Amino acid sequence: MALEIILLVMAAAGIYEGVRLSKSVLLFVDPVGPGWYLFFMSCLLLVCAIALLIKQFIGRRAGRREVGLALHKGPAGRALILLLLYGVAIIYAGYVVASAIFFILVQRIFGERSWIRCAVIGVSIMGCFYFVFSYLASMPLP
Amino acid sequence: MELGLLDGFARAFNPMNLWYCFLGSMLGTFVGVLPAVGPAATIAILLPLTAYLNPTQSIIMLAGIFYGAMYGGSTTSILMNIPGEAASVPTCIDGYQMTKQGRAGEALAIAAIGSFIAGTVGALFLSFAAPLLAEFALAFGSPEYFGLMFFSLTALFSFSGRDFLRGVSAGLAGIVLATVGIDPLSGTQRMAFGIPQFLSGFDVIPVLIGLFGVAEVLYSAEEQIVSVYKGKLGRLLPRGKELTKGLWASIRGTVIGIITGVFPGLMPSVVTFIAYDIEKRVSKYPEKFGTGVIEGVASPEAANNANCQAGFIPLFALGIPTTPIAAMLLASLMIYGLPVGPMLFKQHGDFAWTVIASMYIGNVMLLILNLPLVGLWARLCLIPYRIIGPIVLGAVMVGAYSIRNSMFDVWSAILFGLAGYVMKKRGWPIAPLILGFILGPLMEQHFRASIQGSGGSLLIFLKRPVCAVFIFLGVLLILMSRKLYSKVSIQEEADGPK
Repeated sequence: MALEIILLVMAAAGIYEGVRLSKSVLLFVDPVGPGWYLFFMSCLLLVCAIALLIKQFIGRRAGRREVGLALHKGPAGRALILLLLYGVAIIYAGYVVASAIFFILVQRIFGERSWIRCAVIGVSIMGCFYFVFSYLASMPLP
Repeated sequence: MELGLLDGFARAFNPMNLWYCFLGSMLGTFVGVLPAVGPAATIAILLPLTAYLNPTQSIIMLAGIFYGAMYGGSTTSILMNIPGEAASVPTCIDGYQMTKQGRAGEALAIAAIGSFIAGTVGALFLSFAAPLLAEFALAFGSPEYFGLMFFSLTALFSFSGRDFLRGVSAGLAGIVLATVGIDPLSGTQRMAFGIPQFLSGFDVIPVLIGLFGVAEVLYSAEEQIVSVYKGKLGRLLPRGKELTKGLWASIRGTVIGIITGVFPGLMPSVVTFIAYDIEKRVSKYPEKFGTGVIEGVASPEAANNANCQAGFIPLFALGIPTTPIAAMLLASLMIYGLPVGPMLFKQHGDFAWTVIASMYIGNVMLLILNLPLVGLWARLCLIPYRIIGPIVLGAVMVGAYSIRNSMFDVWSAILFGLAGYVMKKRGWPIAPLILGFILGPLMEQHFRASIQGSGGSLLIFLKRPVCAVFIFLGVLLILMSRKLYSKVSIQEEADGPK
């Protein structure tokens, strides 16, 4: 249901902006401006989102259930939280420290049992990244 | 054309271009072999990194990854019964049976030979057809381009798979998301809601990285792919009648792949099933299909590669992507400021011909990489996901940041990664969102320019014959693709790998 609601919100935002940007009171008079196209596409999105919600509702009444996400249980959810924390840690601890910790922890999440192997591989990946991106490619690191 | 292609070869043989062609082909084979990382994710992750190369080298490499992955994709399908992507599902059916009979080497070899034939014939067709089509399209104005964009967007319907409503919704969401920022025509703020970071809009790269890179890693982390091939490959080359049968099937697959490749939405995942089905129909022993028949491997593999190669024709000549990966290549052309569409051959002919010439070279490289080194590629399946996953996530963070040196892009990539993961889990197609996000702004630009030129009349789109034909073809393609997809879905359910 979450995706359908997100689409609904996006459609509503698009319609609001489309109306706001339309110079004319009658939207159909101004297809050249920045609002009409957005308004039209958002209306189509709104129709689709409502249709999806109705379909979902009918499915639920018929006993059909969606595949559970269980983000809090599986490795995907933990990896996602770690990724978010990694983004924050880069700002405060810098790329090198944050990356080394991230690579060690994410291996644990993906199933590596040995902490020593995690540390060796994690620090090596970070070293390779730093060398390749910063020295060889002269790319800015976060 | 001849001089253009010869010039292209002269430039493609430049050591740096050869190196990037080799790198792309090798990386493509590598990601094709790995069951958990697809070519779309790889190209998405590498896009920002290639921004530091010159455009020719970058596109040579990215194209190499694209067609290289088509070669490599057969390895896991044949050895482990794990299709690296949807296009490899038909290869599993007979390929894995051949492996169980101790004929894995033959299956891998015919897949490589078939891919080589398809790739080379596809490149030849591209060399002739693309400049002719581009020449024709030079006369296009905004209404014709709008028709073309509409025609391209009809691919949304076939990208949608079985759930067409979800696909269309995702495509429309992509179109609406692409409007965030400052309207390029009027300079007005749209969908920014006073948030300063939204003023520059969502960059295409974090969106691609998130939806394909992050989402794929998160999704694969839960899949727990542990199956590893430990058997013997057997004889490497099929002999006598087997080889002849395999070659003919490859040629048939090539023709099917090329014809379907130029149309938006007829992606390899659909075309390989069509090729397999046709092969079964023309065979003298259709009942043996599914028990380890060499034609069942050769034809879909050839169709897969030919389809991918033919997809470059509308991409280079008209600037329309027929597959999600082609959409990424289009995005990379835009990043370099290269004109997308017929002007590419006119203004940057040297670039276009060098990339096309590199495809011939890349196909030879891939044959060499895939035939004698097939054992090595099979061993690569042993790399555990707990090492690949962190590397991909690390590259995603650097890639997202490096485009505009902005943490906003990093957060966007993570956010779109979450969205992509949820979409994948819920069975939503991701490709339409990307197509809408990339083509939406182009369609809007041509729509508004056409309306402005016609004095506000929407009838302009029906008055211009080329535009009207594109709109008609688009509607026809929608109807056809729905019928085709429902057939493929039924067959996929019946034949898919167990």
